[in-house]
Amino acid sequence: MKALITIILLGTQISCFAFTLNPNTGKGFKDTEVNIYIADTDCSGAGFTTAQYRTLIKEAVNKFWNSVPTSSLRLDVKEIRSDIDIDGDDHETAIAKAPMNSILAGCNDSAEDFDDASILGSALMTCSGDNCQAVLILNAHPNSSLPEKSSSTVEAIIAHELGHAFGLGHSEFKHNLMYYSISGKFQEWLGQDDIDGVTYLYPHDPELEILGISAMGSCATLDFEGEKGPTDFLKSFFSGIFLFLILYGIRRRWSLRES
Amino acid sequence: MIKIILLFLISSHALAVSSWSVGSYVPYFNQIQTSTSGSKQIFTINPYLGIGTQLHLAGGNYFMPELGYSYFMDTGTNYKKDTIFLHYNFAYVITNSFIARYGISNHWYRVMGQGGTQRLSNGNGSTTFPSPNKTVISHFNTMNIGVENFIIGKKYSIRFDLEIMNARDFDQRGYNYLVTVNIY
Repeated sequence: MKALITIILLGTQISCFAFTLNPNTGKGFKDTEVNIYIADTDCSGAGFTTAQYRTLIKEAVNKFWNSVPTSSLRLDVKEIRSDIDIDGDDHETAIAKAPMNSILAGCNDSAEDFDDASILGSALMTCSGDNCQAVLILNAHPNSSLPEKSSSTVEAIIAHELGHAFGLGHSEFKHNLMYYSISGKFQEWLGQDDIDGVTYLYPHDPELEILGISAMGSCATLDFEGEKGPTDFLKSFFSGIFLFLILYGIRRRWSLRES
Repeated sequence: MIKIILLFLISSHALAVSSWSVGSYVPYFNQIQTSTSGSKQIFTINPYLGIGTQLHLAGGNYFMPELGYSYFMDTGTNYKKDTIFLHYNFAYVITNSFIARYGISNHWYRVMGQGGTQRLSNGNGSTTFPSPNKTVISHFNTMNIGVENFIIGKKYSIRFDLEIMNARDFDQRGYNYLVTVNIY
């Protein structure tokens, strides 16, 4: 057995991952359900219509961020807002038009650096207290190289910018979605950094209670506030049964040993 | 990590625990991209330690609860990760040395930020990004199915448990697995 454990430990390859947070905010939205609105902007320079852009965002959201079981983040793609136009806006002007606690997505040909064909899109997030706004802008400048990209690559680009829009920063490792460049890689799945980042910002059910006692609290924190649904009851019920059976088993084994 | 192992050692002695499990926990089987060509994670070594007990229910049926801990080796310089498990597994004896396992588990998946900043490429320049600086716990449940084969006079066994995350939702379903050697 000792030899087996030694072999396992010696065979372990320690690789490093490291997600970071949005440099402007260092945090995510206060709610785990975040709406994405589409600005009624001209995306023809990016190679698609506004309606197609909405579809691409939906596919990007479902393929990447809404499929992480350890995270409670749910991005919900809403309608095209004909009352919001970000054509010609820089980032600061565009983000001011984003509904509070939502992400506004659009295309633009004049945002910062968009005359550079290698800049495919950008995102900005700002917060004032607990209220945050974010904007995702794809490069629709005539120089943009977006029209040359495949739809799966555009989905990965959109998902990357959405990552910034809900609070993530870059990863230093190329196989992660949040690496700064899409060039030279095939991105069909999230990397470990991406999963850990979204789990960190939007953890799934962070306050499990067992029999009303916070399981990971510092010291038996009792919480009688808030509505408890049937799922909470079931968790508490099964946890209680588990603890009871453990204690019963220990007692029974102890009795057998003594006899 | 050392504190956790010591805690397991002390508690197993004090509580007359009847089985030890040592192995590896592999989260997100075939769902994490590990290279720029799009290959996915099939196996990784995240040391797993478990203590459990067995309760005979009826006939060939047993209840085999287990408390487990896994430390993730593949975390970066700016955060650490681990998971605490409560497994509520049942077992059905198929042959003298082979059992089928099924049940549910609670997971406490913990991401511990170390703080600091990182200077990383951004567009055509670089930007200083903040690193995670607090501990966050994500709790989730899994449905489990597995098998266990006893060897060497039933004192040892090899076990494989497949855990299904979000079993009710096909789009968000994920799979973890646990491979352990157990000492009874």
